[in-house]
Amino acid sequence: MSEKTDVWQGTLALMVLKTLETMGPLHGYGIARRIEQTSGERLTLNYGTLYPALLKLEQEGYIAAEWGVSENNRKAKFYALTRAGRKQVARAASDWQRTTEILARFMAPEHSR
Amino acid sequence: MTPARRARAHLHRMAGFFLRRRREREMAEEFESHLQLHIDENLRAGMSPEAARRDAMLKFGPVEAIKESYRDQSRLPRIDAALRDVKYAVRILRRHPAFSAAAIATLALGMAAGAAVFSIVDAVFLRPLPYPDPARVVGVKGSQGQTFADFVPRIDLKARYRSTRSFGALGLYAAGGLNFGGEPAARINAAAVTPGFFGALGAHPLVGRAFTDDDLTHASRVAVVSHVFWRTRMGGRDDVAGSRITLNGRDYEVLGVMPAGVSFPDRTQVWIPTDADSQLLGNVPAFTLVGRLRDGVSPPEARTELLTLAKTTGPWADKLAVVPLHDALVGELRPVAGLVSAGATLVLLIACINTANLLLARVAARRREFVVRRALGASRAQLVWQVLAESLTLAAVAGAAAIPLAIVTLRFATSLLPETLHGLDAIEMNARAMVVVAGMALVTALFFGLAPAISARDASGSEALRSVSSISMGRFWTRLRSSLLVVEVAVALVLLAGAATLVTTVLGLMRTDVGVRGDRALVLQVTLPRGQYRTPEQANAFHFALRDGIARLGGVEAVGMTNQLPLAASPLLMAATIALEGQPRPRPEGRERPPSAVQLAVSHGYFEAVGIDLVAGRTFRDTDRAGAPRLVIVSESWARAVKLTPRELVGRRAVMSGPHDQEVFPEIVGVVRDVKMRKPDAKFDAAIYHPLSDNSFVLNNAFIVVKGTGDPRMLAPAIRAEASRLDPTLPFFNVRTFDDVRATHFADRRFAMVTMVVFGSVAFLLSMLGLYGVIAYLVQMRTREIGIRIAIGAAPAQVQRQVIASGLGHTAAGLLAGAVLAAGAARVAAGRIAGIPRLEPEVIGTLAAAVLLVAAAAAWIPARRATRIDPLLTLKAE
Repeated sequence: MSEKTDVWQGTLALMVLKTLETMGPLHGYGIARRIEQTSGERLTLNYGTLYPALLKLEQEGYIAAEWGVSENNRKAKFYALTRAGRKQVARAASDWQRTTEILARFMAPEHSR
Repeated sequence: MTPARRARAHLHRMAGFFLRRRREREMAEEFESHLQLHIDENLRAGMSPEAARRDAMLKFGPVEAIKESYRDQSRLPRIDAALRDVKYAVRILRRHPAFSAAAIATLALGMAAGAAVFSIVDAVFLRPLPYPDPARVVGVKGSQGQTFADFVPRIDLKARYRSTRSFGALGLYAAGGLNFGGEPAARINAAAVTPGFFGALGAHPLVGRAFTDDDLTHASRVAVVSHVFWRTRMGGRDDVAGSRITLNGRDYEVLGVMPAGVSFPDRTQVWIPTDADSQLLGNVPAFTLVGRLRDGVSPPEARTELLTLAKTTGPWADKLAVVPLHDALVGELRPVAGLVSAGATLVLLIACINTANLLLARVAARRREFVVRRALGASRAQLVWQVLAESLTLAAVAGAAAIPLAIVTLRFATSLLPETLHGLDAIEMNARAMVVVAGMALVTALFFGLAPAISARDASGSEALRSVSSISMGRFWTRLRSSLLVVEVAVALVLLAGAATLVTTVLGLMRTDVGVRGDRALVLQVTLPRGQYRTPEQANAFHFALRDGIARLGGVEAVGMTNQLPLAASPLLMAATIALEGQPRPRPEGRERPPSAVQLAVSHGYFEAVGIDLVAGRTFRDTDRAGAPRLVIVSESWARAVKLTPRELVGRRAVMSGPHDQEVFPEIVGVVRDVKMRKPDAKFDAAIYHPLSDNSFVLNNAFIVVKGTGDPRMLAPAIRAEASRLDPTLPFFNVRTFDDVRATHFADRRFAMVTMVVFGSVAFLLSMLGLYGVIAYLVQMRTREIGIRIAIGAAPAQVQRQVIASGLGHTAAGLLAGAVLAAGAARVAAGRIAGIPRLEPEVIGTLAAAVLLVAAAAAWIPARRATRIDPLLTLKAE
């Protein structure tokens, strides 16, 4: 796998939710840029692939979309977390925490087990 | 994800399917706005406009692929695919209009016939009676005309047997009618019942109360009304108990209202106590029994107790049976219903077989298509889905067509049913029947629709492509089609034989000599309430004024009245001993039975109106009035009984008991033909007719018979107007032609006949269509072979003969099987339905010959096509 890591669907969804939680309502381009920046430019994704994921989250009711106007006066669709979305972020974050902790134990040097 | 959330997502996606245009536009807009934002930023970073755009596009990724995945996410791809399949199916079906029309018509016809018949069977036979614990409600079935009342005095039943060891409740009832003196005056169905009657049914009044013993012993004028009557005639008021209605000119107090659905017997609207009105049915009501069995008591045990209570033994008591009331009401009709249901099932079977055959006929063409599509990369599942979509579309269209067809069929079928049939009102297009029938059709369409897909699996792609024109259905499918055809022809022959037999039966019954011609005769009934028409003079004043009024109407050939109508006489009409004056009377203990006859009272004009032929002497005249010497007219078999020719009898005197136990000696003025008073298949009755005009008899329930010069039904309005001029409170009822009276005796068989003729014709048509399809297919498959044979010199006529012969071979096999089945079916039917004659070999032979002839024609059309095959063209087509 290249350094430009493929983004696994579920992970991407969590990143989107986390981004929206931190940043508040944001349009698709903004979310994509933010994810890239947060990853320290280590994660590059085709921005377009974000949209099916956004649609899925919207269908599940975790985010809501609304057309608005960007800071430089462009029409854009803004996404915001819903109440269910907020809960989901908390839940998914703690799940993620647990998963990484468990995985970390496997990855740690032999003696620490 | 929680199920709720998944459902929400699904809903969204389903909505996406319908909003797809809008979603598509929004997606394009959003992507465009994304690019613009990116370009703006790139420009700010100092890129050239072209570079900024290129970079934005590059970073966005493969637009079309992303759009595709966005679309997949926004809808349910499976629905899209299914819709595509259905669209394609519709296109395919429309491209083959002949095939589609044939398949749809076949299925729709089969489903409609099935649904209509099953709806009737369900309403009449399957639906339980609307009473609590209906299995325990029993009636008695005795020999014809015999009722329980004949051996249990009514008063006894009231006093002692209202409930017994076997019966929780026991009641008597007699069905009849009453004049309801409301606005407008109407004839309503009514029943006279004992207090135990409602208990036996388990029916409790919705409002007020039912009858008590006191109501019966005091012969009180009280009534319980049905829910329908309460709603339509009494305005559905709550305070109805205690209000008064007029029945047969007398004042009745309404005690209570029965709940909806209780209208036993014969759609009764008003129940009155047994002794309240003797005019309920003719002059003497015929009572029968209804009871509610106690827990754990079987009908045979109840029967034993009944016979013990009645202290009755004897041959006819043995025939008496206690049966569930539902059986007592419709049991006699079961064989006919079974016959009609069997017919409907067979038609449905033929329809399914035919559809299967039509679908299989397309296997060859489709196989080629499928093999090519498989070769081009279509998955097997996709092909199967495609075929399913086609069959389902076919079945759905056929189902949609079947619903209105079934409703029309049902309406027509219901109009053929006897009016007194139990459950007639409950007959409606039955959703359950429709679902069952549609399910069967669906299974057929699916099962046989899959055949092409399954068989598509067999041929390998390369082989199929190499010799495209020689792909045919496998041997298995060809053989399956041929066997289906044989079954179809066999079933069609069975149905045709059934139809022919029933036509013979009904024509025979219709033509049975009953002693009465009854042509162009209209029969009307009117009840003169005894309260107003007390004496013979009062009743006759009305009758004769009405008679004369009707006689003056245009289009009337003859008019007369009688107290008992042939073929419709009361079950209690009994023959009495009547001797000829001057002849020694046979001793009662002697072997010879004394001459006897039923006594009837008729007006002048009656014999002419109803069509009873005069053998000797004369009929009654207008001048045979009271005060003149007493006259009678006798019928032939009485003449035979007294051993005189009709001519010799005229002018002699009969001896009969008159009023106050005196003997009277009326003069015989004429001799007429015997008539059958009860049933067309009974013996002729000897009869003695008294002139109504001599006022020795008070007639309160008259049958008015009017013979028209044309269709007598046209006269009814004028006759009604004439009657209401005389007494506007009198409603006519049972207005019908004499042919209708005759037909009521075999309405069940006539119904079976009409349905069977329809079924037989449909089955015949379908099987011939199937035959045509199979032969046409064979010709199509053998085009190349035939072409080659013609090229090397075979005579076209010979080729044609061979093709026809292959079709006739199947037909003959089917006919043979059908003949055997029909013979078996006829034997079964004859054992169960009265009047069904033996199935004559000539009938089967004629039918089979006719089928063979039509089959030859059906095979000839494709055969002719075979001989027109141009050998050059066929070979070039490779």
